[in-house]
Amino acid sequence: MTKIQTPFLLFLLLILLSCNQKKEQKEYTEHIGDTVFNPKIDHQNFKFCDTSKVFHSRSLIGYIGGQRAIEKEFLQQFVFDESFQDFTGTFSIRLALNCKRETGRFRWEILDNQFRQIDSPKKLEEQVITIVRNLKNWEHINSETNPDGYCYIILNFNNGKLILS
Amino acid sequence: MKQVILFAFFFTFSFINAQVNCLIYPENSDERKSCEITNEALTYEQGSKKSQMLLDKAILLNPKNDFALKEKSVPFLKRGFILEGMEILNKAVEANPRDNLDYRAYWFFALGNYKMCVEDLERYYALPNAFPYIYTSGGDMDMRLLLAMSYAKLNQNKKGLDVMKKYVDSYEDTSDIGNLDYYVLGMLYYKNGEFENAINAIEKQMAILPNKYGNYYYAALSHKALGNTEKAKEILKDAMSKFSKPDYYSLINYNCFKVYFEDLENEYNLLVKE
Repeated sequence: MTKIQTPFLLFLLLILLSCNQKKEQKEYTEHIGDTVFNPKIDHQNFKFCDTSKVFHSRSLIGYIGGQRAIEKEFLQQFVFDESFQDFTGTFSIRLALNCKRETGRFRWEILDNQFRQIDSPKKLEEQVITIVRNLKNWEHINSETNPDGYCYIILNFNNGKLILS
Repeated sequence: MKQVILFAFFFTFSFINAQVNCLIYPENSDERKSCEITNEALTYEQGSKKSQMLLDKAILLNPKNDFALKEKSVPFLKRGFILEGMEILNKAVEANPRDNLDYRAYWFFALGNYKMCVEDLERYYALPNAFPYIYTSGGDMDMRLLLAMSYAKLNQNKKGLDVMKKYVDSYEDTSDIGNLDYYVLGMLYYKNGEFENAINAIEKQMAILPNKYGNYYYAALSHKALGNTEKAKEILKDAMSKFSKPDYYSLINYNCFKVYFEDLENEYNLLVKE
């Protein structure tokens, strides 16, 4: 009796586990990219002006001086370290811009050349994110109301050095 | 003419949300149901929970529904979730390379990964059933422009120029030439040391679209390379007087050889000092 029950119970357990995995499928937010406040990584001071109208359109946010200015500001603050040498890949950094041109809700992915997830040296990651958090010249494009919104920037690295666009 | 046809094409499709014909699948089949659910998903706002959940449902019914996979990837990619978007788009490419390689190539290009863009487009154009004329999803640019610029970014200027020459020759009517075509051709002639051809191409682009100062920049560089420094100065001075420095720039750009206003100023200052 016991011999029959054990494989049967294992079988049931496997079924239960597989059902559970399906239930664990990532929940969607109302819109892809809605980013809720996380007290561990987000500054409390950043607030959307109107949470009912936060757009998801990269084309509505620009930067004074464009991508080149971002890269210039980045290089002014960036300090290369030997430990970065082996890192070749991409940082995709999302952020929110509110109606007062303040930024917050930074989230990022670190990817290899085929855009698969990888790690970078912790020191590099901290430096990149700190510099991007310090960028101040964001601008709303073609809007009189300066609505809240999200955008992202891409920074590509080769052997730990920023590739200029 | 090309612009008129393209306008009509995209104007029409903007109203029907690029829905696909599901009647090609057998009635009551999972493929038909999956297709219909995909169409329903497209009636909701892109990237909304409702739309994404319907696309998930469609993919569950037919995991090879590449159109649903592609549509699901779009909001992720547009909003900076590159990892998630690419994982989904890779599945679409696997299921149907012909209809999805170009879109993945576009994203590689847009994210500055020119090597992968070239790989995808070379693979696409080598397919026996590839369409010769394919455009970026908004219909703005022929993918051969992206291929040529990607070659140039990888310092394969000769290959880039060959693509551009064939591309321009492929249009029987020169009125079909767009806003960036002769610019990229001119830039590539310049990079290949064919300065007179570069000037000719850029002048053609200026006749089509006179309000882009990037044209002036490459025209000036080409004149300078030919030893016509005074002409180069004159062109740059003319550009700086005609245009003003933009307050800000969009972060989305199809032109990865973008010229900034400061490039005109810097080049002019260099020439004045010489």
